[in-house]
Amino acid sequence: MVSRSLNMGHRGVALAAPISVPYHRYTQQPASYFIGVALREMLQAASLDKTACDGLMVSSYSLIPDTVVSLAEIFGMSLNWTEQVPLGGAAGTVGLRRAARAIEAGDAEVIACIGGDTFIPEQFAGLLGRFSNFTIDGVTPYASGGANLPFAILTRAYMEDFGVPREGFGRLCVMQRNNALRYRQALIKKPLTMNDYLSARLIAEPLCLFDCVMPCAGAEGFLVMSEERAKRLRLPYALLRASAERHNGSKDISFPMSFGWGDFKGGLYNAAGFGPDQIDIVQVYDDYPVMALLQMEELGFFELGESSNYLSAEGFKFNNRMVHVNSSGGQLSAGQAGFAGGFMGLVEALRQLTGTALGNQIESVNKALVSGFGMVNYDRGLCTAAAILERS
Amino acid sequence: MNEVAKQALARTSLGVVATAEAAKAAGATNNLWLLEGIVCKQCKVCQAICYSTDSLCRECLSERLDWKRDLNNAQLQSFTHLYVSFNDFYRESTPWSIGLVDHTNGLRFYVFLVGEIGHNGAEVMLFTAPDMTGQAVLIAIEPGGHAKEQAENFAAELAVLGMDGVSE
Repeated sequence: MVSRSLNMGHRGVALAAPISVPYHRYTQQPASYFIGVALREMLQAASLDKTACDGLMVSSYSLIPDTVVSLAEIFGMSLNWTEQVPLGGAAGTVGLRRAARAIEAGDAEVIACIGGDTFIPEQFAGLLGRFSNFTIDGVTPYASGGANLPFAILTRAYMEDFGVPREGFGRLCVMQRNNALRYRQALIKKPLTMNDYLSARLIAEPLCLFDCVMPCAGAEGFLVMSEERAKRLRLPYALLRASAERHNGSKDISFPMSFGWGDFKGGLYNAAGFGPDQIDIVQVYDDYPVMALLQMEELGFFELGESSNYLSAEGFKFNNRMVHVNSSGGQLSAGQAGFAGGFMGLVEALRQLTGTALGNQIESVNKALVSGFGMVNYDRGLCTAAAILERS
Repeated sequence: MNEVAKQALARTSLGVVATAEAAKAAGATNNLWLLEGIVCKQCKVCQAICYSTDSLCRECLSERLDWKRDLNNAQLQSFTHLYVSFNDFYRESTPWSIGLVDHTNGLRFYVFLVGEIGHNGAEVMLFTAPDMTGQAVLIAIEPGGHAKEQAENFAAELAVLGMDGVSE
């Protein structure tokens, strides 16, 4: 369990200038291009010269052999603070947390947080199969299924343990596709019906085509600074109220259906000053539908195995309030631009809270919960994280 | 040996399950060896069974590890039939039945499932065999009189995967 004394609260940390670099299905541009475009766009959005940005946090699996300091040189920046977070779908939330601490400590004044990746199909199989040494020796030799393998196995177990039919996952996918149809930058714009979902071709039973994300290239990012500075710059911003992270939290569980969010959710809500009953929107990491459901369950909205029963076309009702879910369509419909997928929920939450959504603005969004999940090294994701944001 | 597969998979031979060398040390006799059970590592200091081992014990971080063969059966936790593979040499033989099993020694392994093992919780017998790269993989089969024969047949197919039946 997480110690009660851990500090999960934040005061006076602002997020601003949410940017999504349009996704590309295929490209020959390197990761540094997408990260650089995100940086340029967020500085323009904030009317800042790059000399004002003295911190840079990046996350990218395809940036290798470059690093965050390579980027500082490439982008012509002198920095007081850097961070590179190689934690996949948890990288955005963890990176935000690190950046917030740097702002609170006075180690930097304006930090650009960016997740970005390229997608070159001929390199993709190699990247998937060589995710880690454990993957190379213990997973890939079993027919090279990539991430589909562990998540198909998890999905089957979830279905059997809780009696969840495929329609349960279908409700999530159809809802997110409807959101994507209103999100200008979604990569997939074709409507999805339940029948389409159920009749799609098999990928890794029980996973079918629409249970899987479409890999692509792109970037997501935002600026982190003090609230005082955001006000001075007259930027629309949201406040970071709380954040937490937990790694290898399920190490003592043989076949986990909980991964770490439950270990810190009490402290997270306590630090924020409010609980799930006041959250207006949740952005969960949706590499596979089962993980989106498990996050909503472990973060306190539902009992294990129950979430899909309550999903509607808009989201779900919690304590008689509508909670919206993955309002930009999530990775399942907008695409997965590598580690940018771990930033997508934060960027979309920030847009919703600042009234700047790209086509799917939801009214009266004041409080948002964003969760991240990443790094399936062998049979389970190792990194869990979450952040709570509030309208300023 | 399928050199294309060997390069594509780039296995590190760090002994997630036995390398060919370790399996031979445990009793395997030729290039198409088949070994009943699994071969993993055990710490001489704290007796912990380690997986993935790398070079250190997962519990006490000791370097004093020995190969250990374990003949016990395992329990199937969940499984999938994989229709999409990211490598050509697997793609030609899809679907593959892959399971995740819990061993009595407390470890968990991915396995190739052979035969009709259609439900979570089933008891399975494990065999270690080389794949087409010469490195070890695990095969799981329902215990019974023909298990070893089934494992041998599957291992023979696996050893020449992607080579149109021609072995070097």
